[in-house]
Formats: sequence, structure tokens, C-alpha cells
Amino acid sequence: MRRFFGQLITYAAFAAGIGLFSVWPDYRMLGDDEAIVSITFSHAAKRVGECRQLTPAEISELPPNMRKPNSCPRERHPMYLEIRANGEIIFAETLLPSGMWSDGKANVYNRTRIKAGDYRLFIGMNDSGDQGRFDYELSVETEIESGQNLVIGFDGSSNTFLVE
Amino acid sequence: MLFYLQKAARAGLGLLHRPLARAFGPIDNPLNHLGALIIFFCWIVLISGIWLLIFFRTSVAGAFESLEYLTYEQWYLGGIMRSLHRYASDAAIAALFVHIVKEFAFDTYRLKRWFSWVTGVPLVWLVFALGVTGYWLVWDELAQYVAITSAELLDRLPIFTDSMAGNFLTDSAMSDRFFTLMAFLHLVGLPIFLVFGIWLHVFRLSRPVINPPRRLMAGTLLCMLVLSFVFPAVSQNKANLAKATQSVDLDWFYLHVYPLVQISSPGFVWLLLVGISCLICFAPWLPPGRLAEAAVVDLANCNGCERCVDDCPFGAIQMQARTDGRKYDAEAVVDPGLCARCGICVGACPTATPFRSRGELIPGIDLPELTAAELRERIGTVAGSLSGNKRVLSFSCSGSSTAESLRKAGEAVVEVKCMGQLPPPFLDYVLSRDLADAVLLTGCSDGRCRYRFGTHWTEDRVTRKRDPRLRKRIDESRICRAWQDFPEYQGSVLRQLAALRSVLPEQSTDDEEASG
Ligand code: HEM
Ligand code: SF4
Ligand code: SF4
Repeated sequence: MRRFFGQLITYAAFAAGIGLFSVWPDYRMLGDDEAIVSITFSHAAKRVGECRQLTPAEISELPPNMRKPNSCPRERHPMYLEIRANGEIIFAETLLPSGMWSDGKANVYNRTRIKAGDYRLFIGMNDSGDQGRFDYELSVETEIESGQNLVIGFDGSSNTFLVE
Repeated sequence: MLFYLQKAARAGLGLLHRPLARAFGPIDNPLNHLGALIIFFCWIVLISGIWLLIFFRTSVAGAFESLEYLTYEQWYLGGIMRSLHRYASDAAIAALFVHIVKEFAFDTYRLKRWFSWVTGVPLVWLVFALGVTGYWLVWDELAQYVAITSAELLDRLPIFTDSMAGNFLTDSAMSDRFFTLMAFLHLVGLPIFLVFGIWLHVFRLSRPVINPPRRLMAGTLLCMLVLSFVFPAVSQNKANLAKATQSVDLDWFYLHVYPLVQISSPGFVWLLLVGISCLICFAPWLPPGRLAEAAVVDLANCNGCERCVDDCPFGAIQMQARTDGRKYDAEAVVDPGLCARCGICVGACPTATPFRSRGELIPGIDLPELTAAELRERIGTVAGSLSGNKRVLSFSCSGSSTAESLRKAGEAVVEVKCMGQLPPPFLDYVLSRDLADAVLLTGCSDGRCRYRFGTHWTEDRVTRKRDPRLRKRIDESRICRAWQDFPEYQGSVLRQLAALRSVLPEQSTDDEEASG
């Protein structure tokens, strides 16, 4: 009889433990009045240098199957990105091009917490290595609701930022 | 350092073990069947999973609704199956954790026994991957959190050039493709690896225990059924990528590292997980140690009976064709790479008998660390110190806390490597040569034996169920088998010893009564 109760208690404790920790305590990653600004896209920044016409002497030095009139550096500039909310920088990062020869697209992925409210959002990107100015930019007035996931993307065909 | 860690782990387990031993007894104690319990939970997960699969729709749009249907419309079957699926998976993690701690605490993973330990590590990764993909398939807010965080983790690895996490930021970017991949991993890929992994994990052990006792299976199943009725597993709100999840009810069994990804960084979490896994993989050799010599076969005495092969818990002995031209069919060979130096084979060998007077006592198989001849000598010495009319000679496993408590109490103890090393003819020898009036055999109860089957085989040999059997001429009341459920508890073996003494006849008073 004592064994029976011992087992009953063991099984009850086991079930309680399993049931409890399968849902509790809840994990809170955002406050009640917070939201997320996400940014994600891939973009091929401008190349580091212009294509250069090769001289006939240089062309003849190349192996016959690889002869071409000009030489283009493959390397791309890093991409600099900045997001400001009401003038305050909430995200700024320099992203390097991918690929062994730094000739691929740069990828950005970031999620930033923000308090819910009305914002003037500014998004700027520089991909030409030219410090101090943005090659692409967008300003929007928007209301960010609590628990919203505002996603910023970039449309490579029209070279414009998208805000969803 | 290792010693203190193991001691602390044993103390921790002791807190669990003692009440469980009281409630379940040695045979059904869940702590003695942890590996088998994990497998049993996997069976529950498999069977309930098949039911879920019948109704599950593997698409972003359909997954959530198909589970809602099971949970609410078909609550009496589908809902229960879903709850069983979740709770049995959680129970498997709980059992897995204690399994690892126990193997560590009782030092059954080091040196020659590394194989099960090291092959256990990928099993942990597989089980967690199954849990994560499972939660992903529900496609509720928890799934959304799991998907984004998993993708952030995977993005940290140099595998994908594009950001994978970017796929989980908008509903339009989220495709059925990922979902199908997850479903495939969860339903087919990972389970196949898991089955193979478990097979490999116990591959080197002889007679692996893969089923818990029936009563324990019934008890745990019933327990989870009740939990499923009282507290059914449900989904959280449907995933909506336009929303940022503010809080989730986390399954801490599977997802405890996920918050760490946000608190620290994906790179740190990988470093931690891979670091811990490597540490565990190398643990059997940390610190490196040297074992004494493995069991050795003496062909002149081996008659090829195969009993050692049957009894070796680690599959370290094989029979091969005779190499010495004697008339027997086969001979035993030991693989030193598998031999755990337990001596159980010596206890099984019919040639290990102390009555042999001619020449030296060399059995067909012997343990160089403590040979049968040395054992006979040790018995002689220890028994020589006994006096009085209720002389009890105790046998115990070397280094055990039971041996220690006996010695502290001033009792005569002969230590063997494992109780299974003691061949039954040695008991006959002690009693028939009147070296003692009674014998106490003590060690861990079955299921807790450090060398797996030492207690089991000894019990069977002494009760004449297994060869080599104890000879019929021996009065069983003079052999007390005091297996300890809880060897750390010192009082118990002394009480059993006192009980044995109290039933021994007072020989001198017998004589007086006869004369008077
Ligand atoms: C899915 C997960 C696992 C399952 C189903 C499982 C199952 C088992 C089973 C059935 C046994 C045999 C018990 C016996 O017959 O004595 C065993 C032994 C063992 N397991 Fe596991 N196990 C798992 C994970 C692990 C992990 C993660 C580790 C350690 C990192 C581990 C370490 C060991 C060790 C050291 C032994 C004993 C080997 C020996 O006695 O020499 N297991 N396990
Ligand atoms: S000592 Fe133990 S592990 Fe080694 S061969 Fe004998 S029974 Fe097997
Ligand atoms: S038990 Fe002894 S006699 Fe029998 S095969 Fe093994 S070593 Fe040889």
C-alpha cells in the first residue's frame, strides 16, 4: 500500500513536471509597447573600379582563349546601411560583399526593437564607397503599432526601398 | 576534479534514487531503466505521430488548421494523440538528461567503455532537431519564433549565401518549400537516423536492455494519458509574420537554448553547443588513464564451453577454432579493446574452482588484476581473522560504499572486482572447508551494477538458475544475498548482516543443550 502511494506520488510529480515545463514560464522577448523593425535583402554594390581598355600589347600577353578588350576588377564596395527613427540612428552597419573575390551580393538581416508610436523613418544606403552621402534613400511617415513587424526591403530592379 | 564532480552527481541522483527505490523496489525503479525508458517514450511518440500524420497537411496554409481540427473536433483521439506526442517527447528529454548524468556519475563511460557514450552525443543532437522541427510544423506563434531563431542560427554557419532568416519576415517570402523540407526532416529523415543511432549506441553491449519492465511501461503510459486528458497540448495563435511575437509559452525541454540566441548571439550559442559536445565526446579520456590488463584465456584450461561468452556484458569474448590442437571444438578469445576488466567471465568459467589442488589454480579465463588464485588466498587470509561461533565472511565489490561500511564496522570483507567475478564453487569452498559459518554477498541491486550483469548473474548462479550453479549440498540459509538498492545508505547492509547472524544456530549452545 505504501508502495502504491509512493508510485502514485512519483507519477503525479512526473506528469506535473512534464506538463508544467512544456509551456511555463513563458518567454517574453518584447515589451507590451514594443515592436520590431526588420531589414533584410541582398544587394550587389558597385564595383571598386571602372573597366579599363587594355593595350594591344597587354592583350597579346593573355592566353589566346582569354583575350578580351578590357579588364574589369571584380571586387565590390562594401554596403553601408543606416536606419534613423525621428532622426536618431537605430541601426547602422557596413556589410561586406560575399564571395571569395568579394564580388558577390552583400546580405543584410537585422531585427531592431523599437517602442510603438508615430515615426519618421529614414533609410539610407551607400554602395559606391563614396563616404558622406547616400546613393539610395527613403523617408516615410509611419505609425508603428505595438507587436508589429515592420519589414524593410530593397527592390533591386527599381533601386528603391520597400517598407511593408 | 572528476572524482568530486562524479561524487556530486551521485549525491544528486541519490536524492532521487532513495524515494524511488522505496516506491518501486529495485526491479521497477525507473532510474534503473533510463535508456529503455527513452526508447519506450520514442515508441509512444512514433505511434501517436503516425496518427497525427494521417490528418496533417504539410503546407503553410493548412498545417495550423489541420492541428486545430485534431485538437478541438477530434479531441477524444487526435487531441489525445497530439498531447501524447508532445508529452512523451518531453519525457524522453527528461529521461535522457538523467541517463547521461547517471552514466557519468557511476563512471560507466570511461576508457574501454567509451563507445556508447560517444555515440550518445549525436543522439542528443538528433532528438533536439526532432523537437525543433516538430514545433516548427505547428506554424503558430511559437513556430514562428522557432523558425526565425533557427534560421538566425543557421545563417551563422557558412552554408547559405543568402540570409535564410529573411524568409521568415514576411508572409509573401515564406514558401511551402521550407515547410516541406521541415516536414520531411521531422517525419522521415531524422527518425531514420535516430533508429540507426540507437542501434549503434547499444551495438557493442551484449543483451542491451531496450524494454523497461511491463509495470513501468503501463505506469508511465497511464501517467501521460491522464496528463493528456487533464491538460491537453494546444497551439498558440496562428503564425503571422507581419506581427512581432511579444511572448511565447516555451517548451523548456526542447527550446531552452533559444532565448540564449537573443540574449547573447547565434555565434556564441554555436560555440557553446559545439564546445559542450566536444567536451562530452572527449570525456572518456579526460583525464586519460590506464586500465589493468584485460582478461586472459589460458588454453590449457579452456574447454570451449562458451559460458564466458554468454555472460560477458560487453561482448568482449568470442569463440574461435582451436589453435592448440586439443580435442575441443573451440576456444575463447578476449578482445582487450572491449574488455571492461570486470571479471564476470571468471565467475562463469567452470574451471575456476578453488578445490583444485593439483598445481596452481589457473582457470580457463582469468583477470590478471585479481586472479582466481589470489582470490582463494585472500579468502584464506580474511577468513583466518574470524573467530567466535557466528563467523560471517562478506563478499563485496571493490571500492563500493557497501564494502566501506562493512569494513568500518569491523567485519571481515573480501573484495572482488565485481560480484559476478566470484565463481559459485568459492562459496562451496568457504562453507564446506568451514572457513566461515555463513556468507554475505553484497553489491548493488540488479540494474545498478556497474558492470551491468554482475548482480543478475550472481543471483541466478546462487539460486541455481544459471551455470555454473551453486552445488546442491550447500545449505542456502547460510548464504545471504544482500543486494543494495541504495548502497550509499550505510545502515542497510549492517542490518542485513545482523539479521543473518540472528538466524545462525548457536553451535556451542546446541552442544550444551545436547549434553544437558
Ligand atoms: C536517444 C537517446 C538515448 C537512448 C535511447 C539510449 C539508450 C540506451 C540503452 C538502451 C542503453 C543500454 C542499457 C543497458 O542495457 O545497460 C544505454 C547505455 C548507455 N548509454 Fe545511452 N541512450 C541514449 C543517449 C545517451 C547519451 C546522450 C549518452 C551520453 C552522452 C549515453 C550514454 C550511455 C552509456 C555510457 C551507456 C552504458 C554503456 C555501458 O554500460 O558500457 N546514452 N543507452
Ligand atoms: S573481464 Fe568482463 S568485460 Fe572482460 S572479458 Fe571478462 S566478462 Fe568480458
Ligand atoms: S568459460 Fe572458461 S572454459 Fe568455458 S569457454 Fe570460457 S574460458 Fe573456456
